[in-house]
Amino acid sequence: MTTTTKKFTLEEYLAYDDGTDTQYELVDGELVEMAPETRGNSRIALYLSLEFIKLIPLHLICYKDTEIVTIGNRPRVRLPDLMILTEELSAAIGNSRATVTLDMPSPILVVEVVSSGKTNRDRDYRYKRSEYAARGILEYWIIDPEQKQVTVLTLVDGFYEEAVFQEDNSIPSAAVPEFKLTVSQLLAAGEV
Amino acid sequence: MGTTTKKFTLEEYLAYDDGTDIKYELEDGELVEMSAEANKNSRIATYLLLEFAKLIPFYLICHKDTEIVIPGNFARVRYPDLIILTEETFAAIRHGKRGIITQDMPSPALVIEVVSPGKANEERDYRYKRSDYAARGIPEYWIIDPERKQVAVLRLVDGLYAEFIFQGSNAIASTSFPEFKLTVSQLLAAGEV
Repeated sequence: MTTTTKKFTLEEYLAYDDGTDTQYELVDGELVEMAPETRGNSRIALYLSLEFIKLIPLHLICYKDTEIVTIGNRPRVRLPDLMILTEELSAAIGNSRATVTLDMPSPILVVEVVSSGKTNRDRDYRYKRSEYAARGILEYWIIDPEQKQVTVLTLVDGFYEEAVFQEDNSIPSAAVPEFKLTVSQLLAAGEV
Repeated sequence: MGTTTKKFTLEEYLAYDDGTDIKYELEDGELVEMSAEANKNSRIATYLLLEFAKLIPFYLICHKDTEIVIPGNFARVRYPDLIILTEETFAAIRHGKRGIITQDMPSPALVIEVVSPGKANEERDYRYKRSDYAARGIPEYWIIDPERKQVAVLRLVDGLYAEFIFQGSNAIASTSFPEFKLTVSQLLAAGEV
């Protein structure tokens, strides 16, 4: 992961194009290059998307293609692995750039698959946990293939309550109550 | 606590004046009237202010006079009981017309809230503001709770607050201000005078 030094405004970030396909998040005004996902992690996110498609209309599912502006010292833009939108939010994004800006309602679920290394783990478990809570995102899943666990964070009165699931625990979701998959079933997608 | 229904932008909030002395916070675009603080809570905040004045230059201490903007779905503006600025934050606000720490300014060193009774007030300090201040990158946040007779010190570690609870004869341990020496009992006694 590399970090540039110029400070970007949100507008500059949204207009930024360095001619490569590199994806960046914006953290306190700095571009942070997204490390390529391992194939196992990508498969887990893809498998989960396909499970959601059985339950939710396609246009409400965002698979690594939609950014969300969160709350920080300076603007932050995150690119979650998976998001589930409400109809209202989907309408708000419309056909413009796939960015959930601060004036839009929150998605009902954000999912991250954790990559190895302290920086990556801290980003999903700590920084994003604070940002998504302040942004008012009602449910946040952290899928952790290394620890073989899924953490479901549920926003209660402005602060996340944490529940950790392993092995043959099914993952309960207030956002998608019909969802039925155990942690082992989900993580097996990364082992194929 | 009264809540209005009109949605305010940050600019509208900053320009708002209803001719009264009532202070409002802005929560997701809504004006929320700050309930009058119990006298006892005010004494705790004042006592703490005087303790900090022994340790740091007075101009870094903001006592119920400085707001913090938390950008949100709709803007949020918080009005903490006590804020300890860094020199950088002070430099950013010193010439402003209004004591307000906007989004583009560096974070203060420490924010302190004295909890008022009631579920809505407790949730605001323990839950909503905890998320807000962590996302804003405020390195230390104290929640002083006279009802539970405890002080929660929240330290920002890699973007998330770690919680330390102090009670009774525990000294309140601050990473930002290691020279600060006061036990929870000494501090809360200020409210019992």
